[in-house]
Amino acid sequence: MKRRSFVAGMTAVAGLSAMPWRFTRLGYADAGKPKLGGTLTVAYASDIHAGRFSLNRESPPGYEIFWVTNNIHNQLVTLSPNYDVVPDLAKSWEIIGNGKEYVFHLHENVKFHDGTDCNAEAVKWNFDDMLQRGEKSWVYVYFNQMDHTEAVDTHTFKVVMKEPATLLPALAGYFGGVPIGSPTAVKKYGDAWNRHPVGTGPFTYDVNDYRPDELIVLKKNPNYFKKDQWGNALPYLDRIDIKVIKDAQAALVALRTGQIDFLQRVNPQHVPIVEKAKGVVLETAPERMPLVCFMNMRKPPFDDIRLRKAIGGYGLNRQEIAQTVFQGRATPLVSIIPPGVQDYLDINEMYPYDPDKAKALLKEAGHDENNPVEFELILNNDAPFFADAATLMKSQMEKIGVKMKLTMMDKPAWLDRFLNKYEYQMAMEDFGALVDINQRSVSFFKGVRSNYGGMDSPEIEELTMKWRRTVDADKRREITHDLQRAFAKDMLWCNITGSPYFQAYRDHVKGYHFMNQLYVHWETTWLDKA
Amino acid sequence: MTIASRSLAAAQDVAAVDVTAPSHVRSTIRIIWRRLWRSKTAIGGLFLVCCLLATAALADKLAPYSPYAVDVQASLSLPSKAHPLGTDLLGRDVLSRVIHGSRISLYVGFTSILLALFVGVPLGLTTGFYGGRFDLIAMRFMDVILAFPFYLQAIVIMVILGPSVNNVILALGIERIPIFARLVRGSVLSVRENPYVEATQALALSPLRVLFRHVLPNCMAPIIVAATLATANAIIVEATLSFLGLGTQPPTASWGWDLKQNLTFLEMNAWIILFPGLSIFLTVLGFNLLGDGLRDALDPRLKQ
Repeated sequence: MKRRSFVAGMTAVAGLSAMPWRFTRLGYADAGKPKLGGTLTVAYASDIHAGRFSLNRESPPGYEIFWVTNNIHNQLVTLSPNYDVVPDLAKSWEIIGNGKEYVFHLHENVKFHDGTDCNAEAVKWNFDDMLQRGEKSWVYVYFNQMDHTEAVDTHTFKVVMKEPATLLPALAGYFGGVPIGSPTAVKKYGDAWNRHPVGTGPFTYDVNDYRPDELIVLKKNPNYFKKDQWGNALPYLDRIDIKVIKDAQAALVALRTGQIDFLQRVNPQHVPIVEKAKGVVLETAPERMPLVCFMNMRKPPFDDIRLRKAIGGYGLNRQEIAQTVFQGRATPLVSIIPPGVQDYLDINEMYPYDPDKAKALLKEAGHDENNPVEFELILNNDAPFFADAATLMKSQMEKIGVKMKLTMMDKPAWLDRFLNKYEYQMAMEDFGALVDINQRSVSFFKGVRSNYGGMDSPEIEELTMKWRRTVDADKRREITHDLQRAFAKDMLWCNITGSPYFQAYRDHVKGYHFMNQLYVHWETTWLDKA
Repeated sequence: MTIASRSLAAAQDVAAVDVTAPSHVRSTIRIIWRRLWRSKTAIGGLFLVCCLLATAALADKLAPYSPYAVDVQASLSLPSKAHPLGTDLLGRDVLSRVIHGSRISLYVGFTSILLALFVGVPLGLTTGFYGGRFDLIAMRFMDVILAFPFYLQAIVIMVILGPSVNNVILALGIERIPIFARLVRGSVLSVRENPYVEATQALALSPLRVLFRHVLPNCMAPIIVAATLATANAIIVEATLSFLGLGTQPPTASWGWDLKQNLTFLEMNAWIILFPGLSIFLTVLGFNLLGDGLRDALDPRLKQ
């Protein structure tokens, strides 16, 4: 993956900043002139956090809410389809003092959906709100090196860091960073503010259209500030109906029969069917999300490094799982970050499949046939391939004399044991699509809530802080490589494979850019049908 | 059971004659069997149930492979000589899994009904026979259980207790208690009015003896029928809960779970979901036909 690097102190001004990057970068020779109007019908696999849009100021919501939020709200900067940091509400920015200060020059005449101005004061209010909430805002850990913010003038906003540090990757790509909502609306709706998202984005949301577990409606924002290359107002679509279809099979049938235009996620095991389906476009890219089996290092057996290396290292046949469960569509993965993530390093040779070596390690730790290691793997039934992967893993564990018990539970019960109580020995999940390794670092620090695996490594913490203090992208690459090796060395994070992500839509859907789970933008999407 | 046999039972107590395998019992069974035999559908049901019992009992001998034997080279293969019903994603033999799946289904079906009978029948007997405040409270409690939708209640219990086969049994058992309790209570209400029950009162027999020796045998017909039909239902519920991932845990072979897990491959290899589904269908059909046949055979009003 290529990514334009940012040189410290450089002023990055997009020449055509008033135009959306999606056109300026790609062009539309193939798609023809966009048609206006129409309703895009979309299927999501789950409801959007019960209709709550917390602007990342509360606990983590699901992916679906990011993908709705990024059509209602804008950020200061965002990612292009090439994953470069590009202008959004900020038309340009300056990095001063090697990352000590960041100055953003905002677009003028941008209005929120409620008609109020989106100026430096409004942006400042959003950043300050996030900083004030502190740890209560789940993205705060990415921004805790911010010292304060300033509204320099109506359209100039400044962030002052505690020390020189990198900021743009988190703002542009980490789960939407700090989405900018209308301060007036937040104050107006009081406690119900998160049910009334009011942003500057291409689509508006009305809570009265929302039917829990069934339908989310987005409508065209006629006053959207971005224009296409011909100077036409965006977005093209009048309306987007997001239906909640939980069953992957049913969603697939709906796509093939044309009841929906866009399927947010295709089960990787259904790919051969979708590939053959007529009139359907299938999108994918190298994995950004890993399939993880978390080992709880707080308690036996995984508090013992030898057992971690035996079970999560040499005794785990990653290749077999990739080949069988994902039918060769996933990458066997030892590194903490999957191949699609920036600065990935292939370190699979650190743990080749070697059952004898695994058995030797188990023996060294005092385990043999008479005293086998026993542990429980908890998994949820969100994705059908979890059970397949776990079953295959169980048979691999038997080969090294380890007894593994599978406990399948529904997602809320699983989340409670894994996220809240840390009451597990091993837990399986495909976990978080990433821009870079720092996005994962919420789980690296001892004592934080999101340290699900029980990390306690000064070396990792030090390397992570070094990454954050480094503004130069080339230097960050080296640190990312060091981090990957450090994690694998002590088997602090056990990935099985990448978790491949597939999205599909009818071929009359044009102007959509697949962003591999990071975003689902529809501002330039149009329907090529009568 | 006929009026004659009822009064005979009472007469036995009166005479205090202890006869093992009394002739009236044998003759009653013979009558029921004859009626059952006349119904072709009931015999069909009985045949299916017997086949199922034999399959479950001889699963280890019948299955060509272990239901857990993973063979990734043979992933999703079509039916062949080596794998008559094909293999699933992990290369496990579908025939072996279907055969072993019968064990889980029957185990859940029978034990959950036994649990419900064990609690429901004594409850129905006592409440029906004695009535009063205890009856009132117990029956309202049963109403509360019955008031909730069946699956909702099962899912709630499974979520609270955690998914496992034994918890499915517990959930099903709890939900079946009111059905048996009410059924038995209803029968007892009519049975207790009979003169032979009055006779036992006159003889001052112990309450347990009256309930279990004179009242219960005369309520057996509806219990047998309901238990047979409820077994079929329990098998479906187990399959449904497993389908939802709340029942039998992988990798244990369960028809419901296999159906769900293989559903993904419906269009690539329909065989692998056909047989778990067919097994559930045949099993439930067998129990239902048998249950219907038994109802007809045990109903004295349908005597020809």
